[in-house]
Amino acid sequence: MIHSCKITAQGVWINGKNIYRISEDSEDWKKELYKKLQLSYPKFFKMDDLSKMSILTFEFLKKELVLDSFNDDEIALLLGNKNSSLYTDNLFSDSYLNKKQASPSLFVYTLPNITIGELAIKNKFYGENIFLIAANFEQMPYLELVNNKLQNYSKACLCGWVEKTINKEECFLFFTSSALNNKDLNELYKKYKN
Amino acid sequence: MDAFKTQLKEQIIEQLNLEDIKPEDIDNSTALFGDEKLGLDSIDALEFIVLLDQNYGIKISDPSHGKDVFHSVDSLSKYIQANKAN
Repeated sequence: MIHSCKITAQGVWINGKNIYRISEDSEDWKKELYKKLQLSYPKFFKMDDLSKMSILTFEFLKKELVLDSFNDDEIALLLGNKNSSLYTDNLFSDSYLNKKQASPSLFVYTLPNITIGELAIKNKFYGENIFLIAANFEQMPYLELVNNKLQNYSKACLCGWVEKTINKEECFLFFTSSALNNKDLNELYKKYKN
Repeated sequence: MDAFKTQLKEQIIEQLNLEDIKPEDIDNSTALFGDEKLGLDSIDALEFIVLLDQNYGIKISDPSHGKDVFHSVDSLSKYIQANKAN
């Protein structure tokens, strides 16, 4: 079975089923999920939103997975989005243009693949990885990438879509240790869109 | 001096975005880097340099000084008192 998890400012969905609704009066929905997960990871609060969402989504997804059978370099990470790290790029630009002080902690997140790094550090993943920029979720070459990786070194793939703009925050991750086909992808698209 | 150290801790908490940490949670003499509840890393060392520049007009031009200066609130406080712009 391919397990998936989606989080947005509205809630959390595991395998397409809603398991949690964000409180209507929540001031910080990602912090609310951090508390719900009872995480103790101070670095979380210094991360950009792409990394925060990826970390949270995988913490929920992890509860559905048995990872012990994989070596730490056998899980490939394949993530993507449309707008790269543009949201943080703008914050960093503002820090040195308007506040006259370039922020090191913002600068470090002005690349989208840092979210893969944060997932790898937190979960001790040492495998293959790639972050792609694509027009939308459907344009991500998950089928080609997953099947290529699984035919070679990796034994499983953690894949997904993590997006942050002024108007949108979402993260959808799925985990598979078996080759994908078009039917699998159609099911994943439905779970992403629901 | 205690009031200054409290103010310094408040600035550290704000600059380093330390969630759910209060000034009284930071011991004056304990090593800042290595305290698990603070979770500081190399980027935070750069943020300390920004903090000194922004709040006290102190520029650390030789990064090798950072290890001693940023060791604890006591060492940071002592360095600021000795070097802050008048």
